[in-house]
Amino acid sequence: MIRHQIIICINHFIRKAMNLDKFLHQLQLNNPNEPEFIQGVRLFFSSVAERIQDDFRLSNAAVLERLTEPDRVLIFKVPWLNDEGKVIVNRGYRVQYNNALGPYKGGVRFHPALTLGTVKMLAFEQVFKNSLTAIPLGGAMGGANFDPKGKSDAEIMRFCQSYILQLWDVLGPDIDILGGDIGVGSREIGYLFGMYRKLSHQHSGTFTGKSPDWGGTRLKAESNGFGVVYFLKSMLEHYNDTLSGKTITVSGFGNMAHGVIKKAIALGAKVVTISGPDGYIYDPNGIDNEKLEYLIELRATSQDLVRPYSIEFPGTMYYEGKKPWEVKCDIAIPCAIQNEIGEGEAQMLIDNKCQYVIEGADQSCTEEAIQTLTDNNLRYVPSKATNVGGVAISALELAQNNMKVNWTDTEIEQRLQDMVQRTHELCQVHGQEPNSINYLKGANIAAFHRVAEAIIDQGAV
Amino acid sequence: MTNSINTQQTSYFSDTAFGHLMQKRIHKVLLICSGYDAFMLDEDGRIDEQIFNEYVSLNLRYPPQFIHVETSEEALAILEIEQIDLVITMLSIGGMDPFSMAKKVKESYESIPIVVLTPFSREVSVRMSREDTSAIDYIFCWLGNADIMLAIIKLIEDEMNVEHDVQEVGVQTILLVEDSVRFYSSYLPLIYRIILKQAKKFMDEGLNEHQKMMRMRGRPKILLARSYEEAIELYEKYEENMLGIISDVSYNKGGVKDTEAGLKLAKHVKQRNKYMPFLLQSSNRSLEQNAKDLKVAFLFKHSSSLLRRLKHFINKYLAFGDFVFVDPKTSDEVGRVSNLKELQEQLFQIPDDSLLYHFQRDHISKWLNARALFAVAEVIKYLKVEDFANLEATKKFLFDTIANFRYSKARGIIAKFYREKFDEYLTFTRIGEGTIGGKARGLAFLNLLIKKYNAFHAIDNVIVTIPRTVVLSTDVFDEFMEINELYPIALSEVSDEEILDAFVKAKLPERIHGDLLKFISIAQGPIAVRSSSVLEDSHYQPFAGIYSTYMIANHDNENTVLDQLCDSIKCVYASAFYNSSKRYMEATMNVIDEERMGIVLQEVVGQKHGDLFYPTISGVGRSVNFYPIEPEKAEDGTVNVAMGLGKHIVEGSASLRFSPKYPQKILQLSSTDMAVRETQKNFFALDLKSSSFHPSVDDSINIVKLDLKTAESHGTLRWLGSVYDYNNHMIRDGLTAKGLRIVTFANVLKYDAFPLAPIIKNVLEIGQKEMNQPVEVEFAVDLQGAPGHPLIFYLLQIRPIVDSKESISEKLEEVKPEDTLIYSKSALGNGVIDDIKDIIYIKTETFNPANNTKLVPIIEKLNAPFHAGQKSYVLMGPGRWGSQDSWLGVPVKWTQISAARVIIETGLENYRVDPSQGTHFFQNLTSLRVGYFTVTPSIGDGYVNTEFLDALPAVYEDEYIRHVQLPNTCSVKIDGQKGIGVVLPPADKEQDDDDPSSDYNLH
Repeated sequence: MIRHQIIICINHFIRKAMNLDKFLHQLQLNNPNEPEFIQGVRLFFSSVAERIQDDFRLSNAAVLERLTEPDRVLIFKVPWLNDEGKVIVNRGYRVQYNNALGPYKGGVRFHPALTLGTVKMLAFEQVFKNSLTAIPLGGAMGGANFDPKGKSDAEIMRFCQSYILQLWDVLGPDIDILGGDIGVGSREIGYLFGMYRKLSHQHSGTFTGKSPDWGGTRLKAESNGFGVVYFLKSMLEHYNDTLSGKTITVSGFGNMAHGVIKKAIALGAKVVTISGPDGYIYDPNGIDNEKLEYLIELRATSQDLVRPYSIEFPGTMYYEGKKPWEVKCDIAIPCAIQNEIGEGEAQMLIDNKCQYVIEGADQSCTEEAIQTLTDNNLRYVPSKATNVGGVAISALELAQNNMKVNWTDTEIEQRLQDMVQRTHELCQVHGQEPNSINYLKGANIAAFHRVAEAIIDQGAV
Repeated sequence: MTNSINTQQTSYFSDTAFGHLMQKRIHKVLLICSGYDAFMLDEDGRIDEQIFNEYVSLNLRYPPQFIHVETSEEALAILEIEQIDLVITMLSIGGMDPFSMAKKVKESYESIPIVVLTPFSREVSVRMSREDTSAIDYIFCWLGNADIMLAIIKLIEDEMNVEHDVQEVGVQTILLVEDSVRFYSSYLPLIYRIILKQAKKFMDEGLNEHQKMMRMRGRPKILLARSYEEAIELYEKYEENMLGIISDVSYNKGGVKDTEAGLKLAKHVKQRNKYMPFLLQSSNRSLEQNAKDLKVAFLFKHSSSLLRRLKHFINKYLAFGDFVFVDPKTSDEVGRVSNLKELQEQLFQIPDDSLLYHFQRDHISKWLNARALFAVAEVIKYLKVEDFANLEATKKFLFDTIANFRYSKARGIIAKFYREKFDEYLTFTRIGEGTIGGKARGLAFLNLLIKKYNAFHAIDNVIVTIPRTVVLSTDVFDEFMEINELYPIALSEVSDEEILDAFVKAKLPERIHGDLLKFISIAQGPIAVRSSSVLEDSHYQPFAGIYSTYMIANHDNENTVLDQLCDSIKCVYASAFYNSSKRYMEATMNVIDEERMGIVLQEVVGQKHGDLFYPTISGVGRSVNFYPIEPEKAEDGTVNVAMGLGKHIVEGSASLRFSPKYPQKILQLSSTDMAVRETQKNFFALDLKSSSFHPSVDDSINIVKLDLKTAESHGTLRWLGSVYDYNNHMIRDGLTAKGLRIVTFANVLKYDAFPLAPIIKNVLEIGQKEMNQPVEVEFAVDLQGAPGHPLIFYLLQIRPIVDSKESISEKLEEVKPEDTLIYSKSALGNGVIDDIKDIIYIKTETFNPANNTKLVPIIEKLNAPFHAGQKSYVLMGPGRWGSQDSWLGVPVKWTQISAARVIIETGLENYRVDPSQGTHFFQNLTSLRVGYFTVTPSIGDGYVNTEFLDALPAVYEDEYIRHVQLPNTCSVKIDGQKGIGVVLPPADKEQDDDDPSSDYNLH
């Protein structure tokens, strides 16, 4: 996660003052055996070092100290009965990290190697993710060292029920809200919510990721991809440009790519590529909605290949072992894997007169690529800024629950768009540089700013 | 002089005392082996029938009785109460090991011969060489052909009787000098087969029933010598009555292996009798010249036509086949006789110089002797041409002798040859005599198990059975090959297509057409034509998937069906000689002409959907699971199921894998992503249009691949399908929801629509118990039968799991961790991997989980050349390989490490994460049989020799990763049942152990 900008920031910071280093050193002493947490804190604070440096209130209010100590950490046993009738004990976690901006809100992760350090790190990051979308939610994270792999449905259910039995009385729509994460999908949310509803006698917005039939929201699957395109739209508007008529290259063909393509087409752009580990597809006429539906089927093939697309739709080309960045485009949206745009690919994009590179997948561009892009005045937005759709749709789900309403797709999309636009504005305000906007800096500082201000505003509590 | 001879001959003829021959007999044989082994010997070779036939023809009232027990202890108890003449034991027996048992038996019953019958494989050889075999009289290896039993009994009986019979009436002998168990196990049955065939032919010479039987006893005896001294002793003792000698070159002389022993023997023999037929054979081709110099015949042991050439030698030089008169100058054939009558008739047409040539060399008397025509032979042998005024007189004398003999003895009865025989089972019948091959034997065994065990009948409304089956035994194959003279092309190196073409043009024996037509008329639905070869599926000989299997539609026009059926049979025969089969034979040290092919004709299980036909479920179960994930254990077994024809599973496409003990805990379905990605996407069905079949090297010519939508329209998916709910990213069982269809078997495995798991669990448990070893079972289920009828679970095949690549002879728990490069007590996978030279590992001293993401592109780059070159390597590093969370391990995807053959996750002192046990790549691991080790040396769990690895020069090295190459290939061994895996350091020098004669020796 160390980016060029970050390095600049760190250098800058180190020159000015050494107290962040000292602070992190102390943090490490206080939290031995939690390297994930320390690393998470280090990365984030380094990225906002400039902001910290300039604000003398912070040290007096011990904002950094308060941000690195969770409000509450719950560690509890989760006993459950397996199918063979044997009692198994797992360790459950819930870190209610910070609720200065709103009720605790964060995912639940079931993973056999889950540790407190990881949960704390994720909770810490969640605080700022939620902050960036400008929604009134704090940050939390939970989970258990439970391995859902190779478990029967019944075992999963019993585990989920036991987990919630230990936790239900510290949850609530205004207290702590749970969502999905690795190992916790719609099925698990169903079991967790069911038990919570029974214990609390409430059908309330204490969970996100519910099925739309019983309190969930629509457009869950598309929200991340939509968010990316809305962000792009706001950005283009900022530069007095429009999506209409733009040629876009997209990599990947998963959920993210699907949402991106769907929304981009709807807003008048032409998407001409998708890619897989085997190569990429060039569809000169642009992907339409029918072809889009085929992507779901394509994804279901165990081979993880895009080649069949070119067979299914004549007139499209398949390029074995290549990435789509060699195709001429106005906008590139990498949605596949980490580091898929290196220096070489960045140069291709520049040569092809690409103007915008919007990260859909985390860390799509290498540090060198980002440098090359920005040196050549391409507008680059990191995934940190664009990936707000998921958080936003959760907030919308809770809003619907609280208001006891069920919005239509259009209503949801409108609200989603508004939220993303607000995020864009935040990034823009906080990332403004002499001739451009540094979206990474903007996203980090905006997120930090909102939380820090809230902490200071609400006094020493 | 002539008169005196005539008188002599008359009295001589009447005096041949056949009744006194073969007086010592084996009456009771104690057989110690698992139930399946016993069944196999019994069913396959029809051992009792063959022996019975021979016994009847020898006019003995009781053929040997086999007493079968499964453990050493039972065996000892039987010995106390029964008069046992021979003990035959196999390796997979219960209780005391066979070697200790043999010793114990010899202590009390010194005279009872003990024979060990073992499966043949390199691993077994190694094991045998370590055992104390002093109490064992003979070791034989089982090559899937029950002729061996007959050979064992005959060999031992011959040994008992030879002295008496030779002295009494001059019975002839053949000396076989061979110390390789592997080779004499294939020669002896062959030689006996030839002899017995010959003996049967005598019957056609016009002798009466009683004389026929008597004459059988006069067949030549075989003497087996396993050392030079033994050979010399036997030769000198029976020289006068010896038809010929077949000898290996390298065996013990004076207690040590003499690589020229055979040459010395040949020299010795040739000095005494220069016309004694002598065949040298060796795995060293360069000895051919030495053989030439000694004027003896030579056979290269690894020749693909070894057995055929041996047969040729026996027939020609040991006087077994037709007698061929040659022109001594040109060696051209000038005449040929196949029996005494023809000899008599042609005597005056044969050119004089030819007759003289054969006469002088005792060829004619040998030929007669080999036919147990001792009386005539004797007269001729002691006649010298010089005894007569001219050759004409000799001819006249010969003619009279034969005529006299025939006149007095012949009655002209032609032996009845029964050509077909059906079993009593309704579902399982056979056409032809002889062995039926591995697959058919397995089916017959399954049929027996179904009858024997109540467990199969205990489930309401479900029938467990085998499909209606007819087996064409191997004699049909033999006849087909011989009458069409296909061996020359079959054994040549022409393309598969040319071989197929020649086979398809050839004709199947006319006699089976009627039987096939009858089967066609009875069979319901399409017919599968499967190979059931003698070597296939026999112990330790995995041939699954080497030979072809065809399916043909069964429609109204019986003649078209018959044509297609015949074509399919020929195609299956041809597949035994395809290049891949030949390569496989070489690799497994089998000799291709040892292969004989039976054919299983079977109703295909399934339902008709328009022009398509397929079963609801096909599957393969294994009673041992080499990739158990908690809570599964290796012994719980594992099952792969798929919709449609079993080809889907055989080809390794995504099928559903579950443990029959935990059918609801399916790894592939534990997350939505996995369920969508790693489940079945298409299926196979048979195209019933008759035009879709024509003979082809490709046995799936009329098999079509279809998508799940088709299955849904047929109603098949109703039993097996679930739906991927895209919006909620979850799987909804059943087909009521909207969304992408996936095959989860939920209705069957989760909601008990059909008791698949309990049935398979039973089958695997019973199969393993009866075979005394892990088994693999193929099955098919048709859930779309007529409503109200019971559902049917069909067992299609059972075989022991003994893949030479999968069998570990050594006890890995005895390997010292310090002697290895890497040692793991928690290893997944099974077998030996011995072609790895490269190890890529993450350096522990610079390791930091925060860098895990950075390692991915480096590893991907290192993997690429291996992937392209189809080479493999060992990949080792801390944490969970393929973890989504990079803090817990390097987050690689499978394609980035695709060439890794062994993956090792290590725990460090300060970095110990819960091992993933390979669950991230499970599909890939199991289908590609990748080994997956977990080691944490810091807490004494396993061992890694880091100094050794670090000392090797690096092919690639950076701050975090090192790629090293070993000087030689190292050997990776995994014992899947015990979960132990080792990477052994490379041997200093590659051992040359290719010589099959270097397998275990008895003395």
